[in-house]
Amino acid sequence: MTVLSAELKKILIGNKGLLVIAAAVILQLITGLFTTRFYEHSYSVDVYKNYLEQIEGEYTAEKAEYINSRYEEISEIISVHKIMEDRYLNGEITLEEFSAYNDDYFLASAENETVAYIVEKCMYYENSEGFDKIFFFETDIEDFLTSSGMNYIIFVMLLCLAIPAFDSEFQSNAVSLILTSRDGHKKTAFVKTAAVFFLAFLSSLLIYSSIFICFVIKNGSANLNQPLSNIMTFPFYGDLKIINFIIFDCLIKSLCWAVTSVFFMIFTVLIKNTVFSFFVSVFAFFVASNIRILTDSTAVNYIFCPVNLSGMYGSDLNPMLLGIISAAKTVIYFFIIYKIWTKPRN
Amino acid sequence: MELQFVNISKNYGKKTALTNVNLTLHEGVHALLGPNGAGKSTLMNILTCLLKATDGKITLDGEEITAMGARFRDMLGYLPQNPGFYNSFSGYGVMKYFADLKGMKKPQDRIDELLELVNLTEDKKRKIGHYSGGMKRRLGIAVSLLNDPKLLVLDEPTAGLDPKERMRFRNIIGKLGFDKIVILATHIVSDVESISDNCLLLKNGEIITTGSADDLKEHIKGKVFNTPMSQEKAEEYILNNSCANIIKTEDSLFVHSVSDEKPFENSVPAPANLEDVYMYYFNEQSKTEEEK
Repeated sequence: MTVLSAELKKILIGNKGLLVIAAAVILQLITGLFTTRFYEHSYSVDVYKNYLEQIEGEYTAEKAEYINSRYEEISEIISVHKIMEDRYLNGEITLEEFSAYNDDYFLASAENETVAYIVEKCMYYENSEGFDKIFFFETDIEDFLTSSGMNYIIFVMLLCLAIPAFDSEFQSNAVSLILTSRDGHKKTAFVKTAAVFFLAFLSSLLIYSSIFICFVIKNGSANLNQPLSNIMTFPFYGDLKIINFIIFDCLIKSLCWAVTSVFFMIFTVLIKNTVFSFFVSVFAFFVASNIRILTDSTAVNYIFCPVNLSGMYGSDLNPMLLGIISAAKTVIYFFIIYKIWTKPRN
Repeated sequence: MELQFVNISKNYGKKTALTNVNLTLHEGVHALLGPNGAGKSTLMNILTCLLKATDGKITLDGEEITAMGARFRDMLGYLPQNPGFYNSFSGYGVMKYFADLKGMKKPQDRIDELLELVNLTEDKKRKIGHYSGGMKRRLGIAVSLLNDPKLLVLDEPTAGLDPKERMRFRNIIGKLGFDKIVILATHIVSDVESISDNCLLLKNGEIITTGSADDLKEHIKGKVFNTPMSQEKAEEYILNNSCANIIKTEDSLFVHSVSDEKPFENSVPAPANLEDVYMYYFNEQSKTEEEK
């Protein structure tokens, strides 16, 4: 049994990590499949779907012209509402004529925001290039992509995985045997950190995959191969397919969570008490991730709150920079863990 | 090989755990005797570099052990008090894990040899969770011996073991003292009487005396007495004297006691054993502990 496989066995079997991961995945699947989140939109989803029946597919000048003329028509109907009301009150038009106008007015009012949205989209297409411009129902995908920030199931799961990794050695007094072994200092610090990092990454990926599976079960996968830039909140991704972006998104967030799990381990080696480590880790995590309240700096977001980065994807997330910062943070955290772990007690 | 403790002191805040411990040890079995709270574990932890001394240094062949780092740990075998193993691992798995941590390249033969030595060969594939306390202790001894250490430190290795396990343990340790410095901290004197080459008596953080078991027995020669008396008197005497015990034979009863002066007119001198030495030196502390 190598040290790595022994550490994995300790975390997964001895500390019941496998059970924790399985429970987290099941909870995520139940939450994903049996709960519904409501999103507010400026437009009506049903009206949008009706219009898409007419314009679905490749964006063309004719479709843009149709939508623009419909928008002008709607605007005109709405703009004369006061005039028509006055004309009816003054007896200039009959009740039948006013009723016929009102039918048009209510329809126009109901469609106004939706058509305005489609007009905005046409303008967006007009001013964009570098991807295939296609009309498709993207609302559910947009909701999915913009709402996947902090995940509390992953947060708790990683606390349960990371904290006992060192803590169980203190509680069982195996730490004395480990630290008096020739390579016990370096090997255990490095291998435990690596094992937790690796497991945190994989288990987070598993949870994000579960979220995605739930999405596909509920909404289908028909439009996942469309270019992401067709969604107006994601304008800078060129021809990148939605499915590829989701994979990229899951990988980045899992990486950030893996780094966070190493962060939790610092408190375990420092405090040497399971319950206190848990509370201090939670406290430190929320302090770190809320530092952005103090400033709007992008650098602060990269360094302190990577698990909440989804808000940046639409603008200027730099994966390379995030990767470098994550690596640097992991090395710094490891160095701190190593120093505390190997330091003789006072 | 020479292990030297030079003015080792340890304070926990205002509380003093060790005061100027000075010792020079060579190959052999050294029993560190003292009651609970005397500072044995503190001294062991400083020796194994798990704890920082407030003052003083420990050297091995002239070199300070804290500066030796991995080289020192390579020569060290340590069995802490109540070592925890991993219940989901087999005995063999634990041995393999610690062999890796000790930097051993091909440890299979050594593991088999040690499991044989501690009589765990047949149980090597069983999960530790199913081991008895004694089996875990024996496994701990095997782990501490994996790297064939030159310095073996055993902290209360027989605590909680049944008489059979303790005898087995004594046999194992007895074989080891020829080419190693073995330091064995305990308050169970019967475990070390027959196997120790040297006894170190630690009281309130200070080494009060050292010497072989025979030397120490010689120190209290003439201070050990057997006094024949009635059951009632014996029980009354024992109540006021923690340094005495009742011995019953087929046709008589007498009190075995240790004191500087002859306790009764009819007391007769008796041969001393290491337990008497322990009682003689630690009686006061035992009294204080009892009072507490």
